[in-house]
Amino acid sequence: MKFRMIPKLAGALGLVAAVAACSNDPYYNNPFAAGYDVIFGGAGEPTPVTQEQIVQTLTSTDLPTVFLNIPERQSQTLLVRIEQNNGYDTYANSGRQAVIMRNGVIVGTRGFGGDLMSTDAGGVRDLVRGSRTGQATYIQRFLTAEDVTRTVTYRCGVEPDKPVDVSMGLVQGTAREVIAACESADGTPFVNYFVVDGNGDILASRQWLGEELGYVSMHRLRR
Amino acid sequence: MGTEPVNPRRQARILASFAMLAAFSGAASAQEFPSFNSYGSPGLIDMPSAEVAPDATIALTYGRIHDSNRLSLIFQMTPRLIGTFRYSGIQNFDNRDSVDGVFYDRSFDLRYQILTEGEIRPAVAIGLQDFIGTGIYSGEYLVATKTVTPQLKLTAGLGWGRLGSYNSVATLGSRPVETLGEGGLPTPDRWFRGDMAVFAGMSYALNDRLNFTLEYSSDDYEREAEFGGFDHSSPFNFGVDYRFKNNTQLSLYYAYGNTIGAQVTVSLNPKSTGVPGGNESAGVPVKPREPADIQDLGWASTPAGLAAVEDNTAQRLVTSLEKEKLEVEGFDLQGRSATLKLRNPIYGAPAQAIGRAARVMTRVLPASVEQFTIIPSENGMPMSAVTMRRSDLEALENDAAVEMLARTTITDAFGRAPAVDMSQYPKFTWSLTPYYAYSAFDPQDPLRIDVGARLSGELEVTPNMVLSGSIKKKVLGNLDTITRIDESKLPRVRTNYSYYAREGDPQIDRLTLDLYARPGPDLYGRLSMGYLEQMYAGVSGELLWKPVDSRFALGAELNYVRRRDYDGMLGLLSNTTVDPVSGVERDIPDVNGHVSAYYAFGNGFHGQVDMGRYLAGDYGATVTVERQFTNGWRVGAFATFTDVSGDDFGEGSFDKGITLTIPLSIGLGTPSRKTQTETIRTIQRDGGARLNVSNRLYEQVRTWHEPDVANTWGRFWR
Repeated sequence: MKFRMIPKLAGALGLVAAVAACSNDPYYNNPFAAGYDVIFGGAGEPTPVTQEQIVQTLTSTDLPTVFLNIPERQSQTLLVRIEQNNGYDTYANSGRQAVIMRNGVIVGTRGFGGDLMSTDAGGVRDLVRGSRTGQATYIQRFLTAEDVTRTVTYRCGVEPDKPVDVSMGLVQGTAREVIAACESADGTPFVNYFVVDGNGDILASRQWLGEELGYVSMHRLRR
Repeated sequence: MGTEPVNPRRQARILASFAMLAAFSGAASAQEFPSFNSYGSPGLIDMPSAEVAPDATIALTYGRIHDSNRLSLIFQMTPRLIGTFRYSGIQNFDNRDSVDGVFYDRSFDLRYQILTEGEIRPAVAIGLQDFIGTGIYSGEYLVATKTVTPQLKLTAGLGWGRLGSYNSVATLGSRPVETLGEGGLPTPDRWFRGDMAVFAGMSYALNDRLNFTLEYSSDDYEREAEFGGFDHSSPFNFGVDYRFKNNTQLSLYYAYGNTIGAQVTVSLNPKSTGVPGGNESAGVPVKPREPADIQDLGWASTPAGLAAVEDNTAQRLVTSLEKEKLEVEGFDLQGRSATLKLRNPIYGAPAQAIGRAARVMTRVLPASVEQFTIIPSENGMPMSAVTMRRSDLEALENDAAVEMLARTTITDAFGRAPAVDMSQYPKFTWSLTPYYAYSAFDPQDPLRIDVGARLSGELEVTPNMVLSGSIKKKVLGNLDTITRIDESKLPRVRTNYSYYAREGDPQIDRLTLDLYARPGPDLYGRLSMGYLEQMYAGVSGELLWKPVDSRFALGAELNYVRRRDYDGMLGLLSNTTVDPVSGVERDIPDVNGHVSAYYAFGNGFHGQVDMGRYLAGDYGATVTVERQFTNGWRVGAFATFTDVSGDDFGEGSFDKGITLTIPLSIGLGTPSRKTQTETIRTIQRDGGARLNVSNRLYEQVRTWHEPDVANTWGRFWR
């Protein structure tokens, strides 16, 4: 291939891609658009949640609602509870992103990319909810880029800390901060913070959801 | 948005209290990425080292020193074994095989790390460089590399062939120089024979980015000196590498005491490239049942009541599965069980399609239905019956995915699929897409490319009967400039490629009617008629035997072919070809076919043997070995040995090549079943050539059988 052909070739490729990629098949993926996204896509714009959106969401539904902030993705979102199963609550937004929580501990995410697939949080959850000091194991499972399940087993120390006042959305009251510090041979060490009320409900938290999502903070806006 | 509950002092204290845990946590650091030499292998400048790249690394390097240009593709096949394919062009090379003064050559290397590096022990590797064919770079080595300090690595080795040609220290037998056969054959008669010499070098990493290399080369560059303007003033070469965050490496060299060189290396790894778990939206959550509703069978007490609920449920299933980008091909509802025949247009991981469908079923089906059977369909054929208990789905939604796998059974779906809802048929889809085609390694022009548009259409008369075809029109390209004509001692089954490239614009790629069936338990069948591929029309029949839980499959394919006209339209030519050089007429046999055995080793490696009669009438076998990754990447190699002698085969002696399959989902970040496979053949001749039939059965079938479904099960709840 002669080098002088390259500009012409690039032009033709662009033309072909723009004009010629279409189909009546609902599952058709334009490979050129995909390539474009990979090369020029980059990180999306930050999406902060506004006070207006919070008010609007809380007035449009009676369902429990949480606010989620993912600094790693510069993304904030409001999620409404859409299902309950066996003590697990699924919260989702209109973009079909979902967070699964058990008593306020985030045990799974879906639709964020680099999702946390499942968590065995039992012992840590009990210690946090009881504002007690102790140690417990904590297991997080992820998919690798190869689609193989990666399991990270942590050993965590839990300790209650100072009392805090909470006023977020329609959730108000006095609660206590509880800290869980976790280490593992196969994962990044992390420190989670939970804000727990007298009934053992987790009202807010900052939790580690793996290398991809990083630390994610959650605030309940309505219980 | 409120205050983050942060307390650094407390954080430090708690972390300190768990310091003891770090004692058994060990160093989980990622494997170090090596520096690549000018031959595209881990090494110094021209000399190899005993290092390896992280398992599964695929790297592409282009380098130029003096008049030598080398383009290399490497694959870390196993943690210790590296393979390299190299295409090189040496300029100002006055040799009878040179074209316009450029000598082009293809070569393969293999390196095996015998010993990994220990506290005291260095890493030791043995390597074969350019071990197939004419062997301009032919050399073998035994090399050791030791990391002395984290920055400093020392390498020393013993080389033969090219690597034993400067300041030889000993001689081990004699090393023949004649090319075996027509080239393209392994050259064991040369390996580790002839003059031996010592090479050595060191590399010093100033930091994570910058690395300096120095080597003493045991290569005297005799061929370059003989045929080109090469001046070997010094055995010492110097290099500096700069590495970017994504492991892209830029290198500059000062070599042979008088010249400079440069090189760029890009790499990726199928195990870590792409978004882990994908970017697609969440599936619906499982909807648990009220215990009181589970016993309610009132709706199924009369046939009319059952039928009404079945219709209604089927409609809701169609609507809900559409949102998951899944299709209902058939549905059967009973009081306690339901069977869904499912079509999966987009999910590359079969378990993800099954998991999403199962979750939708928990939301739509009457509460009394406890047993779900999902029967995935490919071209209307029921591929397997995946049976689950609804109460397990409810109980295990948030557990490790393997828990659900342990409670799922996968059996043969022969005779178990519900009747097809024919209201959607016939179904027509079309697409207009860009395409590219290329021809590589012709010394007249090493890479020719066409780009253009392809119009494809598919009419599904029923799910099992599909009329499909595509036509392409070139917009720009130079594939029509192939002028090279070589004599062939066989019927010209593939070497008339240039006629098709020149005259076929526009060109009908294929136009076939395909029928699919399940003739019996564990059996799958295909019959294709029409314009099967670029060069042949005819009829192709295939039968595949594969038990649903087996890693092993057996298939048989029989084809009746007629040569297509060069203009790529509907015309046919006689099967008699005339060699343009010798003028000899030869007949392409009407019938060819193969018996194929397939085996998935279970550790990511997959083997296939096809035995039978090839297009030119030669008999033999093709052996294919692939490393297949769960996410769809595949890297493989194949070789075909037939009763055609190397002399009659021509250049290359026998058909062989490597394949690279890339899943489109990697670029998209969202699910896609589409993959792109590139086959790199050093040369396409007429021996050992198979018909290119689309839609062969094995890949369709294995996707839904137990080994593949279990392998992708991590995506069941994704």
